[in-house]
Amino acid sequence: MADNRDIIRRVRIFATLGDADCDAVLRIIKARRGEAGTVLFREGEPGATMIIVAEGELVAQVNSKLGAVEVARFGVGEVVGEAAVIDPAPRSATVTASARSLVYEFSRDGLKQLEQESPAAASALVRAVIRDVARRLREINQRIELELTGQVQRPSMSGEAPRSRRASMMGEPPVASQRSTSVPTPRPAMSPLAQPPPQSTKPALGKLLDKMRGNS
Amino acid sequence: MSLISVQQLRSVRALAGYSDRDLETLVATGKPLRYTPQMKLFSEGDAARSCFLLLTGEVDVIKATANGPQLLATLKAGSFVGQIALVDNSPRSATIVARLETVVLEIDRDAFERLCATHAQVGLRFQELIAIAGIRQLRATTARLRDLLESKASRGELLYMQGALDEWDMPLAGDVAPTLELDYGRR
Repeated sequence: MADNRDIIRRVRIFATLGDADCDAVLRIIKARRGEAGTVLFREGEPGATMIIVAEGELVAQVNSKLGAVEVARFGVGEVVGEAAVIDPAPRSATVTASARSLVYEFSRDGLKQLEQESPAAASALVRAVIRDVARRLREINQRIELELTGQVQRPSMSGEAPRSRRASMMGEPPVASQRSTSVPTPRPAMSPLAQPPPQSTKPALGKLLDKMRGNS
Repeated sequence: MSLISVQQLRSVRALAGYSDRDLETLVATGKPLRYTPQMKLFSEGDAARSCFLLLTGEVDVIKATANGPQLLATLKAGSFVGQIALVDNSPRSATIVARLETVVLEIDRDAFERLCATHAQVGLRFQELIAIAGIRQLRATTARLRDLLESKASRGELLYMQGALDEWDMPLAGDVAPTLELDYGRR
């Protein structure tokens, strides 16, 4: 049990849990093993489970106007889809094992059980989700403001490889190809030449602000 | 006499699953306050120690931007405001101003911690409400950023969408669900 508890504690949000609380978490999780290419869930499908990566790696992709875009990779100890156990909603991305992987999964019912057996663990999970959401909201609002005011910090793209840990554009939509109706070619230019002229955000800005005020 | 009755809390959809006893516990945990139009509940940048449950009236959510103050949303009775403060130490992210005469139940962090200690299940469910409101707000906000970036992309201005999706689409965001009256201006 001790090793398993450590796997639970390796998950950031459970890092401070005691043994009994880890055991309560262990009682509600289900192990799933998959080879590279195994789809754990698909964008648009109803979601009510979260996943903890115990071995291997998962990759998340979303469909966009540009085709399938890899949005994140998840390694050992990372959590995927934790919001769904609190607020079930369609999956926002397709998640696939990118290597032979072992994951622990638990459901909304599991969370209900955890609330009874270990309020501490349930509370740790929920509070971690709230903090995470708060941080993302702050950052995304900042990003929106920067986009609207044209003062976004542009990353340097000069000869720089895309960050490998997260996000690279995929030329083809590998996972969602059967579901995708749009052809995502050509690959978007990743060059400083694509910088918008300074005033070009103005009309969009006015429209968006109107939308925000509910005047549209 | 209290400004707030259990019956009034009963009208808050988000609290639909609460028993009368749970609602009594919440009323006892909070402090009823009445605001007249134009009064601020709190200001952007303030230290955040409490959340507000709007029971009557309406409030505006206003945020300072490089282009001046912007109205982000108007929240109606039944909404939560500032709920993140019960769990997170960050300062207020927006200014809240009463638009109409507004009655709220203010719950501060200390009272909330006492609630969690003495009524673990009520506290836990309230935390879940906070989480759900935040998650839905995040989904809506993410969708807005996606719209913004896609509209830029369709005008040939695409470049950094990748970076935005990178940070924001997983795992909490993406689809816009009906919100707990916390719709950030997406209609």
